[in-house]
Amino acid sequence: MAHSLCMPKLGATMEQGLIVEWYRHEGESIHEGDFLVEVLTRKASFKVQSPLTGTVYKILAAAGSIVKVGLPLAVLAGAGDEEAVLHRVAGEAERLWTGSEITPEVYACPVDPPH
Amino acid sequence: MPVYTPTRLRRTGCPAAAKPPWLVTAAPQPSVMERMTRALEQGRLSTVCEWAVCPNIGECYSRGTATFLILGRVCTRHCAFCPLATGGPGEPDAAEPERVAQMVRSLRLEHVVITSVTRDDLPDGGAGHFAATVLAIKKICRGTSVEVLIPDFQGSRRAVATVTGAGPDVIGHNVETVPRLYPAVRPGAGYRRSLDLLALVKQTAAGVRTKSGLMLGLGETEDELKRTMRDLRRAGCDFLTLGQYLQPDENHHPVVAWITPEQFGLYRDVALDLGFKQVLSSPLARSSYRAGEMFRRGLPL
Repeated sequence: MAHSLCMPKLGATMEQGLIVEWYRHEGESIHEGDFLVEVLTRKASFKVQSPLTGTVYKILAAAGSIVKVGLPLAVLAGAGDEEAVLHRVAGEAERLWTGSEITPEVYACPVDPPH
Repeated sequence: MPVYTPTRLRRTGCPAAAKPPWLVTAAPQPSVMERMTRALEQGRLSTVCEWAVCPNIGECYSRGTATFLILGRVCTRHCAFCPLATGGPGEPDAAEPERVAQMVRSLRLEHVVITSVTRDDLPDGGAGHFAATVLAIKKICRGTSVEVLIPDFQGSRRAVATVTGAGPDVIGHNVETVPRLYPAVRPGAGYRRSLDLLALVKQTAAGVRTKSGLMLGLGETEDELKRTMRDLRRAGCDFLTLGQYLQPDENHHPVVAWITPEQFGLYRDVALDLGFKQVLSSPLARSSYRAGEMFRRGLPL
């Protein structure tokens, strides 16, 4: 069944997260439990797992985007999902971005990376 | 000291990806996070896991364990590494110890870690609240070992006696870093005071295990770290944790170095040679990470 993968809330004070890297890309097959995307909170980095077996249908937030908690990062397709349904779910997910206080932007590192 | 070169930075073009891959952990499954969050809300309890944005939250919550944060979420100190809010906390919630105990029972924890913000505003520094929490857990969770990670109580002997009197199995107090960095990292604390507190715990309750921890990557040198480890042993400290410091946000102390897993391994060997009974030294080690395993392995002293 089509599924919107959303920015998880990984701490009490977390309001947004940065997409560091997608491990899987649109059209790729995935299994439940596969690591799909790396998310950076202000302090820690997390790998988010796939909740289903299927394919990555559409990625909505590219690496480098800052995304508010709860907003969709990608739409995942389960076995047997019809294109029309997936298209509708992706459209609904994209509309959630409309009016969001935080729009995707390229992350500016606040400090020089340590050596 | 080996230097970590962030190759992922080049691969992804994203500056934040400079964080070494060994620090990236699995996020908790949404169902796990929701279950624990709901239970905590119902019990009106906080965990340091969530309020300090711990990288191990996925592992610990998945195992059904958590480190409870008592005495509120507002601290009277302003340490440069800690994301918790600073200010004037409210009165302690007298019913909190009982609720913590109920939660420990409901989670069926074999070992629980209780910690708090620093409460310099309270006459006893919150020692009575710690003691009440330990006693409440011991009363209804027979067989559960209790570890408290305490503030320095401004060195109060009476406060230490209050906590030890409740019979916790482990008393931890973190020195956090080497003495040279105290003014920048722990401005309201004192290195000697923290060492004396650990020694005082041993004098007051010889049977209790003492534990301390340091964050590495704040700018300490190897020699400074080794001297601090020796100081801790002289204070009778039994257990040691060493982990990588992570900057909560740009308003906190920067990460000066990423310490490699191999280097953490070398520090573990040094610590064991110095006589620590148990040592957890790895990038993601935290004061309460796998505390139950450390306690059980550390029996008997």
